[in-house]
Amino acid sequence: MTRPSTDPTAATQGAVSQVLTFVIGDVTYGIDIPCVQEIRGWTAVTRLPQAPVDILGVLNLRGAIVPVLDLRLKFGSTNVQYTPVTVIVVVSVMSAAGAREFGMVVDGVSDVIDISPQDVKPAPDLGSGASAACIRGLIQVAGRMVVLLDVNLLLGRESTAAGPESDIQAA
Amino acid sequence: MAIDLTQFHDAFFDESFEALDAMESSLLKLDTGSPDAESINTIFRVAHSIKGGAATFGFGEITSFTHSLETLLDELRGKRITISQRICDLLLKSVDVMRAMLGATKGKQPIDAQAVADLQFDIELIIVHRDAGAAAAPSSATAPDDSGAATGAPADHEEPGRLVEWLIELRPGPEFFERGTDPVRIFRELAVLGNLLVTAHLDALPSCQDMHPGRCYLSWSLSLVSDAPEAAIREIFEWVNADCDLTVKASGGALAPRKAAAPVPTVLQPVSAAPPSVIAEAAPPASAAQAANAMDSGSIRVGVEKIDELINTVGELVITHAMLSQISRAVTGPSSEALRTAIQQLERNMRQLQESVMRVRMLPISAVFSRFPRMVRDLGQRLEKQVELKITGETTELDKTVLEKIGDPLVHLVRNCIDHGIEPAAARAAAGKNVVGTIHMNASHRGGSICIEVSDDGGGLDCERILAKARTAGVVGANDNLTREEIQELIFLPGFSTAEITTDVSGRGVGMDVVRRNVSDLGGKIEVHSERGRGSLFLITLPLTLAIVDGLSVAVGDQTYILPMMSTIESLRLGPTQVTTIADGREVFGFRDDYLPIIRLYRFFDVTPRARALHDGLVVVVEGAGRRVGLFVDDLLGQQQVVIKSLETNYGHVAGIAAATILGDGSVALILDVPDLIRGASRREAA
Amino acid sequence: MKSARKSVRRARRSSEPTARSEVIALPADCTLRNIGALRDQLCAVPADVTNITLDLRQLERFDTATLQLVAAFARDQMRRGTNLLTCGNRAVWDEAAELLGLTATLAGRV
Repeated sequence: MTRPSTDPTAATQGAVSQVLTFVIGDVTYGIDIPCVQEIRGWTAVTRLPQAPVDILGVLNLRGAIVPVLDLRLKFGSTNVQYTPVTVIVVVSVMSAAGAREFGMVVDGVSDVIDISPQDVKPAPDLGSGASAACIRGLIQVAGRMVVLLDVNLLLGRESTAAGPESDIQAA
Repeated sequence: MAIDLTQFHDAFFDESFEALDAMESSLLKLDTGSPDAESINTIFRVAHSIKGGAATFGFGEITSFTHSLETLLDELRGKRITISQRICDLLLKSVDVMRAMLGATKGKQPIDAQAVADLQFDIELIIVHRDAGAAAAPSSATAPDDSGAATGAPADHEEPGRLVEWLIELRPGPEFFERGTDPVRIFRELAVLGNLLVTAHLDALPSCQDMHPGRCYLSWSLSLVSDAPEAAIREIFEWVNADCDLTVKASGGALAPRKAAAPVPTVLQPVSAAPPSVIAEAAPPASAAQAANAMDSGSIRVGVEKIDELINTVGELVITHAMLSQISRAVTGPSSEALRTAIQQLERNMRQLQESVMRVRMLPISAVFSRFPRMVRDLGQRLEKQVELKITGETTELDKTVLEKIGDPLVHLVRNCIDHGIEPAAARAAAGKNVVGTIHMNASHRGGSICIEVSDDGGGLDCERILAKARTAGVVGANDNLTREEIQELIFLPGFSTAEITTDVSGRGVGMDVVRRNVSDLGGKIEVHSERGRGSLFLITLPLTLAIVDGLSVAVGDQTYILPMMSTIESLRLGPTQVTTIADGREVFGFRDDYLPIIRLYRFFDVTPRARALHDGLVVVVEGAGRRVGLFVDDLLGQQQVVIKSLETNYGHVAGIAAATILGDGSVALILDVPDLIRGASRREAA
Repeated sequence: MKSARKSVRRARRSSEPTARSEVIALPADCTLRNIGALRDQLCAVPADVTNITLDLRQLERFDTATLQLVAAFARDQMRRGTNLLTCGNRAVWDEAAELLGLTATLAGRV
């Protein structure tokens, strides 16, 4: 399934927006559909040296080099499997330098749901866990809670290896 | 100006800048003692072209200035004024002023009117004073040919200064406007030459209702009283499209019909009708700067994006070929041999295609080298050093992008040479050297790379001073011993400059590290070789292309890395006795009279290797950051061309990694950045 | 080709012709590529108008085709006896008309 990427902030402007939900462990998360480029089955990635533990490496997405982030690891799971049904959700975010793509490994995707921004409740103070930083809010859908993530914050500064400075620190 | 020609402005600016470069080149080569007529002609045509284009687009200030310039040049080529050093300098200043005016107009900034007026005044002064000199009667012939526009008319009509009435009949066809000619612009040009009287014929003009408004129903009879030579008048019609009948005749003179292809035999050159009609049918008049391009009929302008697309596609082809090659190796059966042969043929075809496509983007380095004679001359004067510049290998071709980015580092190197390298004349004389210092710039292709050398015969690097400064800055330990090469390498560190007086030119100490970074951004490297008292040589090596690199694939554990061949020297297997461990655990081995450190790649990249003992794996000797090291790997997998894919676009920088590539099996492999690797490894060892 | 009588307002038909004026404002771009629109605009002027004013104040780009069209229009109007004036007189317009030998025609004299 592929979708063209549009400005993800459109979702926050009052109209009904669409959210792709997926499962990690027993929590359901959601991200704005406009960011989603593609959903792929699991393929092997090439490791990147000195990358944080949740960045598995990079893969070849139709000729572009795309980093892959394991959301399960990022949110604290320890025992993760890579099975034929593991999926990678490829998203596109806008950064200062232009559009960037990356992939997120999740346990499986669920449905696409419609949400209204007024139904989104702010996230309670969840402490400083990795997931907390990228939570946009919470919403109740059909009896279950969906945690809405801000894709732009998923691949945060600490996930991209910085330049020479990190060398010196590691040295 | 009310006419919409903005779509053609860019071409006009581009061609004008190029024409100014040609003008500057000619001026620099001009020997004022015995001036070469062809050079003066070239310069005249440049001014004339720019004036024409500027007038067309309504750039009044440029038109006016170039008109004065053109007048002076006309006097020079007619030998009514003799060229002198002062005039040459004035003309060089005009180049600068015109560049500034064009740049300002292009960037929609105001023009520095004072600078223009001052220079224009000086030019006019020289023109005026010609009359005070031995101004002969205007009897000498003007230049024999004028970019193909000269035509058959009695010789006396060539004389400037004599008023002649020209009768011009223009009868356009109905498609005249749509073919891109706007008569009012042409008539405006004519009006500049003298007194113009225009009569329009409306007999074919229908009523507003009945007309097709895009068609031309008018025709004109013009009378131009002017002292301009006939060539000047004909030149205005040079880019008028062919859908018309045009006659230009001097009243009482011979008829000279233009549309006829057959040249009219004359006293002067026969008319060559080809160039004007080719231009007319090709496209709407884009610019007036054709004079400089008389030779250029064999080339076309192509947008850079088109070429980049071509190169991308070729890059994808390389990957696809790699995939096919891989698959074909696993194929068995009766056709497998034929398949493998065919794929090898494909590889040969592809290399050829690749080379051809790469060559499309390649331009001779003369485009960059050409600004240096002027710079060296000006800088030498400013710093009171006597310097001469020698350039060789200027036909060596580089990729366009590399060309654009190599200019700045080269400028900095040359400035450094003049400022710090070449000694003042007195010091040189005292040292028994020629009082005039020499800077030599050379470019060549060597083994798949481009080598650019900038050398001077000046004082060379002062290693003692450099070492002292490095010690003071704490970069080098007080007791560290460095080889001469290592000391010289220090100049590439940020903030380094041993110049005692910081001139405004260089010596701010931001130079050499930026130069190195610029060069390595282009995938290249820079080294310095210097000898105290004799001079310095900076050697820049650049890959022939940016997008594809020849790589050596190596295996470390389960990872495959690509080593750029350009950085690779040799690979060898070390015996257990060949490695020595020194002081703080560092390992070195002997290689060609030297001891090189070993970098265990599995440690640097944190990979589980197959082999930990050095004699169980291989060592690849590589070169970077002015040093050589041995990289310890498990295995060599082969040599192949790889397409460079950016890691930074979606991820970021990784130490020791330059980029990524896609292998034949579709997986991603990382391309090593050898200088970064070497620097990173020594930082880690030092910690 | 559009019909000439497109105007919404209709002239009162009486034995005394009342003076009627119409102003045609030329748009910013009247060059060859937009010339069709200008022609339609000019042809839309009703035949019983006595004074026509061409308003040039918004005009930014024009070429020979523009002047040819306006010349045809001016000649048509002159034959009908209509007065043709221009306002927002622009020096560039006049200069171009002069260069093309159309000054007299545009002034309604030829």
